[in-house]
Amino acid sequence: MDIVQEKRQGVAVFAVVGRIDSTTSDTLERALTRAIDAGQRRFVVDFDGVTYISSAGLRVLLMVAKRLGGGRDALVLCSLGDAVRQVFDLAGFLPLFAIERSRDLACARLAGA
Amino acid sequence: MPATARSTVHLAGTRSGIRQAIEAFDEFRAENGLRPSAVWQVNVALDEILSNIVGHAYRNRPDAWIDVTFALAGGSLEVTIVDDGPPFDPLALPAPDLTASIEARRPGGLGVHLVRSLMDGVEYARRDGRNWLVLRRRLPASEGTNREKG
Repeated sequence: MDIVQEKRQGVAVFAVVGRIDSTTSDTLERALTRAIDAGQRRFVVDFDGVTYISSAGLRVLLMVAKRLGGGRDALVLCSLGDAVRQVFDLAGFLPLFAIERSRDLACARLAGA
Repeated sequence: MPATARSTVHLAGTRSGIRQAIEAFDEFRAENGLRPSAVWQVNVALDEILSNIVGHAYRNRPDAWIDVTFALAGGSLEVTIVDDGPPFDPLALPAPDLTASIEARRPGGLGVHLVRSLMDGVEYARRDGRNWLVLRRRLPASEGTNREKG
């Protein structure tokens, strides 16, 4: 798994490429935690390059959302493929998170926040 | 005639063992012409079960082992996972609360819930002092019939 980071108008974008599972979720957790610790408060996680996510990855998202106060104005997820969306659905995660179709829409949602 | 194939890997019951299992499954998948998008459910289930075994039953005990067998027969992919940890039936775990808010959410139990949901069959048995777990997933009809196309 790789993480490509960029910053757009104060929004930190984390584009994840590969699988998010028990062998890779630590890397994602560390990257997001480091940014939160550094004071970053608006995040987009882009799932366009993600092949699948297991509960280890869901746990990281839950932890990050909690640390950001559960706010939909702080964390937006985007570009969920079929596999990721299905796991979110089964886990009951779809209603918990702000989800957009594209990175542009996700950033736009936070840029105005 | 439907393709039949079988492959077993003997792994350390550690995090690096999980990585080896993923590599072995990638190889098995590619050899049998299965697309990643057709078998990701098995990847997720494999990760859930192995991380449970390594994290809970073995707690990274360095001498612990796990045997994983991938088999393709009759249009189904079957994964058999055997470990010698203490008896643990993941199917006996209570279902997680899927309706709680972010603040009230507890991640426990989510992995096994995903396994049950994504697989067409899951069976557990305790035999000869070992845990045996069989995961079964039916493949799309078109899958794996043409090795050349991958």
